[in-house]
Amino acid sequence: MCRLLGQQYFSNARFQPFLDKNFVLFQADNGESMGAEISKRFAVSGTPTTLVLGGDGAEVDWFVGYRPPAGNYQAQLERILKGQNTFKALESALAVDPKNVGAIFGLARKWSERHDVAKAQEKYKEIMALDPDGKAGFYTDGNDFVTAPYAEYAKLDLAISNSLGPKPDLMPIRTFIAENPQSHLVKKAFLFLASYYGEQPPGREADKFFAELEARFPSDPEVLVSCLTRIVRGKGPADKAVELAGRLRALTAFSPDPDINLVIAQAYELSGDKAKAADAYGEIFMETKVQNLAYGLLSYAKYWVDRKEHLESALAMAEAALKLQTNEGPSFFRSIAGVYLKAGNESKALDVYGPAWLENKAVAKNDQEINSYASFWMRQGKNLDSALAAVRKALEIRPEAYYYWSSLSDVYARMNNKAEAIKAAEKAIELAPATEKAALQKKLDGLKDSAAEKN
Amino acid sequence: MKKIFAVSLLLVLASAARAQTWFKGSLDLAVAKAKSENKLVLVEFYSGG
Repeated sequence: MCRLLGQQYFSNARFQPFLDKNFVLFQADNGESMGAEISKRFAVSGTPTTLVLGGDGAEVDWFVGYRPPAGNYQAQLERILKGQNTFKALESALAVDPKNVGAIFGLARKWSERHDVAKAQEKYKEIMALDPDGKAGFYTDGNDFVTAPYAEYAKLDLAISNSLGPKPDLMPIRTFIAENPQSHLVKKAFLFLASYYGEQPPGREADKFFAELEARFPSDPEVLVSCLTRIVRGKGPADKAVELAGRLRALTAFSPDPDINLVIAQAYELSGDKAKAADAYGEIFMETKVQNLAYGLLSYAKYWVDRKEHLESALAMAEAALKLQTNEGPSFFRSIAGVYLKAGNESKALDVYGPAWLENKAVAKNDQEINSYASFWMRQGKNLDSALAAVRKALEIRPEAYYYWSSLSDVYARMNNKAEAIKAAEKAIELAPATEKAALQKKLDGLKDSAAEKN
Repeated sequence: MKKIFAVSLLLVLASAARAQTWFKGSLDLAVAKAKSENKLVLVEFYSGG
């Protein structure tokens, strides 16, 4: 069993009912005779491979590899259960219409994923014969979201599979680029060549290719990373590395990526500029990323909690945000508490932003932050004793602040203590500037009216 | 010591309770079982070395 897949998916209690309900689970270890025999029977060459069979023993579908998180794996199995884009469904579609280019393409991708180059090539060739002009439909790659006609994908995949092997022949890929200059797949073709030349020692041919690549995509971060990685690996030229690093930093400044900044730092290091390397990939860079991630997780949690969807994941991400950001300001904890409250978990909200937070002397708080705490709980109508203690604390610090008296009035009103609410509101009016008195008076009148109604 | 043993035992039992049940027997029998239970067979190929 692939260790990660076992740990994250098959040992995860969350997925057990789904697996129990829908599958009989069978392990085939290539290292043992029975597993090796089954691998041979189904021509499975890579691991981990997941093969799903029907009750008749026929192949329903398969997928190769495991890409965390476990939800990805679960989604694949759910897709298979629904019969979406499965080998079996594609074969059935083809039985109905042997010229269904989309189904042929789907099968080609399936065989390609299974590393069955011969069967994949056969299907790709069928597509090119049936649809030479690429009019039968489009495919969007789920990894990079590049959309192109089936026929173009078929042509490129054929070119790539022809170029693989003990004696790589790059000409078919070059031909694809030359014959399809406007194709959205040209960059993919170039990047495949880059992966080949990137492994080659520096030399005229590789240098020429990378110069061509950079000239063709001068503002593409993915391409520039490829060019820069090669220079870093080859330990020069440093001036070119610095120039590319500067360009990459500018292009990715909107949302810097740690993997890219690592290469940028390596480029500056190559030129002996350790200060710039630290600037690009030092403590501040990473702490900023962590902080941004914490807020990103919080936004995610808020988004889904507001919609009452994906609650389990939303709460897990709120928890992760808390772990990342223990020294954040009160508004961060207030927001997290808000997420927990919306999800119906009051006790967790109180753990994060309740009396313990208020009383924790290690967390410095000013009167505004203390009053915000009181207002937050007052609005929720929960934890009101602590809200009252908080607003009193704020008033101890700033007894002349009319707005804290107004807060005190609000908390008392929420506690249904109309008499104290009225007293506090009167004090607020007494201290308030002339411009605020009218609004406060209106609130006071409302309080008095409701008190009279009650009596 | 006894306490540590008890805790370890609990952890072992807990993880055993969580672990998936893999079919013991041949693939053909797994297929037959899937057919009788109206399920699919999930074959996980791996390299145990």
